Amino acid sequence: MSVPEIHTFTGAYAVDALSANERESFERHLVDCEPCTIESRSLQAAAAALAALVAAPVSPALRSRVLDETSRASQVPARTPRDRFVHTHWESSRLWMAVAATLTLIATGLGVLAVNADRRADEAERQVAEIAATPGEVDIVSRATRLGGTATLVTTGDETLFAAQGLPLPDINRAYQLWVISPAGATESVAVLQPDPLGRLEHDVRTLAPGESVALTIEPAGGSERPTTMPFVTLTAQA
Amino acid sequence: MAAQARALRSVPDPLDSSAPASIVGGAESPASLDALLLAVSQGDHDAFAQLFDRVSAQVLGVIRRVLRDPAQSEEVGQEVLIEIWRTAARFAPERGSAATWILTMAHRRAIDRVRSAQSASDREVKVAYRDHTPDYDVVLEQVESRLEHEQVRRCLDSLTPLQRESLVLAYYGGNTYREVAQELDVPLGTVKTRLRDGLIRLRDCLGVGA
Repeated sequence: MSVPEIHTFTGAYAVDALSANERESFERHLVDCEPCTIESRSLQAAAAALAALVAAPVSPALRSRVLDETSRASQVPARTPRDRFVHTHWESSRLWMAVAATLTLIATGLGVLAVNADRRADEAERQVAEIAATPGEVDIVSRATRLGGTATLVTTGDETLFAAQGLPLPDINRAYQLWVISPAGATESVAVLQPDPLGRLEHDVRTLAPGESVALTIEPAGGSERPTTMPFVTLTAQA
Repeated sequence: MAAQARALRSVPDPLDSSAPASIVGGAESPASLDALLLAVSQGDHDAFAQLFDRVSAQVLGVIRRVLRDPAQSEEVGQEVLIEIWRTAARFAPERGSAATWILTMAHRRAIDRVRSAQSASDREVKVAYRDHTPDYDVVLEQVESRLEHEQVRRCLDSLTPLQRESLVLAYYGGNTYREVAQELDVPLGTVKTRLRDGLIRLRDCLGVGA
């Protein structure tokens, strides 16, 4: 899609008339284009009205099944600030990258906070089981953020990775900025980041000294020299 | 840091007509769909049952229209309704109404299913309703549903036939804009424009999405 004509796709997007690739491209574009985002949302509201014309009767059996299953189904966490963070030593040298990449950790008997985000849960569960079973040195710290979603810091001997999922899209002209913060409070910018349409982002971090933290703040789109807002999540590396 | 709330023009959402008092009972004003969804996000299963009764017909209806196959439609519909329960906390009110969130999810899920079912070589255009909008499929018992149905119908009738045709082929037919362009033998840009202009007209007539 060429940039000048991309705005003409809002209608097709609103009725899901884009191919999978086109939709992905367009959603990436939406991150940077507020007029397109506003228009797309309003046209989606119009498109949703078309469903009113085709309402179909719902069988009592379906109703029972849905109400029954949901009475037992868990929900993704609501956006309340929660300080549930867990340090744990994973014994693996191999699969931490995969875990961070899927951004889905399953609550297991080993007590790691998990957010089960999508159908890749089975895959993540398998990876976690492998990690737990294989010796090595991996440290994972995970925490709900004040804005919703979860942030994770994964450290091996050689590499440190920060990853987050379920983040809201920043407002227009805003971005997330990742910092390293020293115990004394000195801040060092790592990167200015935008989440993908699913609210995910990740970035490498230099090896952290004991007591150093990694934090995310909301900043103007180009980033700031020093944080201008309070971090909405902070993760401290295991000493 | 507070999220900057975009100013929302407050207009009645035709998809969120309040349930009649006889269903809710008592003198309390019935909950809006947005309020129900918020309660659902906090684990209120009674609120979910109410929400189910308000939206499931439209959820099933749009999925059924796109997918055609009744068994698959039930399956996808069930998935979507359960997903609404599971992911209610992801609903962001500043991005649109609960009704839009729910029905956009339903439509997209049906589209993804129908496109994955088709092999690349076997892409027939799902030509449906080239000449007219969908029939009234079901007797709508609630007065409110009838009213919203009539309002949407009236607004859809205010579109040009070409706009309506493209919208019907895309939204109900599940076709990509390329497929629509091929079927109608018009340029890609023409279809995109008809979709966009048609939706703008529909939007403004209904007073949604502000």
